[in-house]
Amino acid sequence: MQNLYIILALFLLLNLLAGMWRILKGPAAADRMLASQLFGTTAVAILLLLAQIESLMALRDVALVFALLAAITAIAFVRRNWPQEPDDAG
Amino acid sequence: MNRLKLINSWSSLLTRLIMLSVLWWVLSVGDSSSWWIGLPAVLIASGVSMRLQPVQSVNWIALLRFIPFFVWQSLVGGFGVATRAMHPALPLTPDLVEYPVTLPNEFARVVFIYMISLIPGSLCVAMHRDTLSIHILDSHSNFLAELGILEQKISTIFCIPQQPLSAV
Amino acid sequence: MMLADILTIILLLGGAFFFLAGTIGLLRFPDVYTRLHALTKADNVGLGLIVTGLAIQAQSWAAAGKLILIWLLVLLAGAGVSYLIANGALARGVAFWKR
Repeated sequence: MQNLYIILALFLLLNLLAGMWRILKGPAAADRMLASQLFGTTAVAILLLLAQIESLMALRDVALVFALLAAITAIAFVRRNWPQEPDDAG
Repeated sequence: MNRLKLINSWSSLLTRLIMLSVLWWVLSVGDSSSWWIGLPAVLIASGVSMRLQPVQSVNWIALLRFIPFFVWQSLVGGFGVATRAMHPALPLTPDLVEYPVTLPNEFARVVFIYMISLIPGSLCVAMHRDTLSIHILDSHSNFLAELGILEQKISTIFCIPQQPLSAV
Repeated sequence: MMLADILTIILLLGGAFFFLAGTIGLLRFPDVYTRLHALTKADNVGLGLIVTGLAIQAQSWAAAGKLILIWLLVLLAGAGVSYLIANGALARGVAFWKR
């Protein structure tokens, strides 16, 4: 079981890295905001797996706070920092 | 009439107290010594929520029945999105459609929008006075009927009298 | 190996499949709206399966409940944020792809 958790956590980390490519590339500002969604789910899953691997239940609280912060930062960005000009290429 | 209203708001307060207590129990992972903080927090939160969120009657049986429906829809829809993403030809036929909402109250509408965005295949993009702009991943599917069923279920959960189905 | 362990393994692998699909969709789908579909929906289902798989292994009901609570929180946040992103993109005239 331990090995499965570790392999899965690494697999999700690779997913997160692959997803980062889209965040960096864009093209629209909206694409970059997908980062909050990506971290909101993938990073939470990784943290929960780590909590299981290390038997460190406090990491579940970290996951909980992560989920909350991902939402709050995304809302703040959408409401305040989204440039008006549409830079959409497709 | 006034008496009924009073009973409704007391039962609503009781429900909120129970739900927030369960929430505290889960958050503290059953640590009984944490109730020194938990009990006042639950009481204050219930009081505040009574002020901020008006009493809403809920059909609990319909809500319980909604859970397996939601889980099943998520799995089936999620699998559909997954196969589309992995298919070499990328078989997408997205479209932006207008859906006329019949749900009369604001809270039920917001819940409906959340559910549309959670169930795979549809994504709410904008809300207007009487319609919703919904982005559909597969415009060949029977999405109008599915949205109608979802709306029906939500109106049952919130005890809203049945309306003639205009959308299907 | 116990039945609970087998169930956990199946659920975790299922979850990994949906996460992979979400990432592939994020990279391959043609516009912001379809990418939102891929990322939000697939990852939510994936997280749901992983959370259920871990909840089976939890020591207490409260611990299992906490895992489910985290998932519900992610769902709620994800739905709200994906509406805001899609709505903002539409308002700023980000074109949507059509076959």
